[in-house]
Amino acid sequence: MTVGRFTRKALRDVHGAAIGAGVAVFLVVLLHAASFPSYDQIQVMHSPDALKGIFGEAGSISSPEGYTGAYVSNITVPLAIFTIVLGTRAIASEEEAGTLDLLLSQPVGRPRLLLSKAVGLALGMALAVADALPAFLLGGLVAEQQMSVWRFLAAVVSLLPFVAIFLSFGLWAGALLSNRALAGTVSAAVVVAMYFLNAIGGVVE
Amino acid sequence: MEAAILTEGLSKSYDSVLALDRLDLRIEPGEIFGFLGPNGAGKTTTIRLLLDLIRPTAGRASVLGMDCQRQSVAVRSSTGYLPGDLRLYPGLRGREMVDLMSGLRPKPVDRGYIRSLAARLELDLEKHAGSLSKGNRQKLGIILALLARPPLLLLDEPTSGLDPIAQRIVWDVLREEANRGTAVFFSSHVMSEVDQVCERVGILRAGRLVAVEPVAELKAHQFRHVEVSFAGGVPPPEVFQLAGVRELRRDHATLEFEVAGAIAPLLQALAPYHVRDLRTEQPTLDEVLLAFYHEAPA
Repeated sequence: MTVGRFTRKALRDVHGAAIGAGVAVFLVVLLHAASFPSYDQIQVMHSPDALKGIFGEAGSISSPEGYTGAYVSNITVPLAIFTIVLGTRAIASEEEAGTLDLLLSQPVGRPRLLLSKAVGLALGMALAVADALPAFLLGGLVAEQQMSVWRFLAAVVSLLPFVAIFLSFGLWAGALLSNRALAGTVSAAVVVAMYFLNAIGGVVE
Repeated sequence: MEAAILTEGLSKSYDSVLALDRLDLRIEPGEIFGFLGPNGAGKTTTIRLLLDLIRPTAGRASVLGMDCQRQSVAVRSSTGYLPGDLRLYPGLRGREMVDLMSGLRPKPVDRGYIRSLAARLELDLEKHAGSLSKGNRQKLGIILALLARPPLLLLDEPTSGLDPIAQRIVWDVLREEANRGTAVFFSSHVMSEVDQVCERVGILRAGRLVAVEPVAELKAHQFRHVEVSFAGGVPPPEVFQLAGVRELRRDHATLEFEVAGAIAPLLQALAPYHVRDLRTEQPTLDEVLLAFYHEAPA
């Protein structure tokens, strides 16, 4: 049995959103990569330790690595919210559109259907995130930045587990709550809560 | 032989509302079974239980010997389903819908059959589902249900929205499938189509199965109208004081009766008189059903 077509359908469903996210990622990374020289002269950030904790690597933004790490990590929250919105939409929108019955009446187990949807969405988001790489290269050329492509790639790849986690969270929320708005709200609240917990964790350390 | 559908005490309630009450039903392979009832009688609930889209509160159901809950994927492999409220992906072409659903089937589907079915129904599979009229969406839904030519078809009001010509084509297709051994479980509240297609019907009222009978027997049990015209004057009323015969109307040359059961005693009573014309009308299935809905206890 193949559910490949269903995965392709899920990918096709999000292709517009993924292109939009990809363009956003491209522009944000390009803007940051090209504007690194403006931060080059900042040697020390004279901020309280607690604030440095919240902003993570912000204290070392004068180095290409620290600067890149800071802006890549700043992409995480909007990307997480966007991913969750897509995830919640995947199942809840089928129910809202009334197509879920037709789908569930097919001879495929529900976990398998959910997985094939998740794979399609994850591929879409991975392609969006991958747009960061050409943006980094282009921005690096403009700013004559010396940072290794591999280190940047590692920073971008580190986003993928977040995307996967939030995608699965959105899918489950959408499947369990079957109401897109409620599922999106609950999920977004969880992301914001996690962000603050992470920030507070940095302060405590 | 395994029953195509077997339910035993199948019940479903939503909080205090009993949607289906102890349904006992057996449908054989190759049979076209009409499941009749007004809106909210429990027809769709029964179909959703068979497909494991919802879980019963009591009882059990099986399809071709497979338990509808424990072997739900296998049951759905053997089933084609047309939802009553069919929704399709508007952005997909008919062909893409067929491809998508084919991909979820365990065995390759017969593309030639799909093409011939679309041609018979005059459906253009290159059009987007969102641009199709209600009737054409219904045709596409029927094609999707028949996609794998499964041994059981669960069709929830299959000819809803179809024009009379398309309805006849669908009935022909269903008869052909039944001749191949496919059981067709056909939910409807359109009596005329059940009358045309089904061999047996089950009548559902407020979640309870109040009758399961062949269509002909169901009609035979009911009153028929008889109108008799006489050449001379009409016979006196006492001539027709017979069991099962009720006089409805009388004028100088015509009598109208309602007859329950056999018509022979009335014909014997009429024999000595000069009958000019006799017309008898079977009740329509609508009349039969309306009688059931009004008479059967809830």
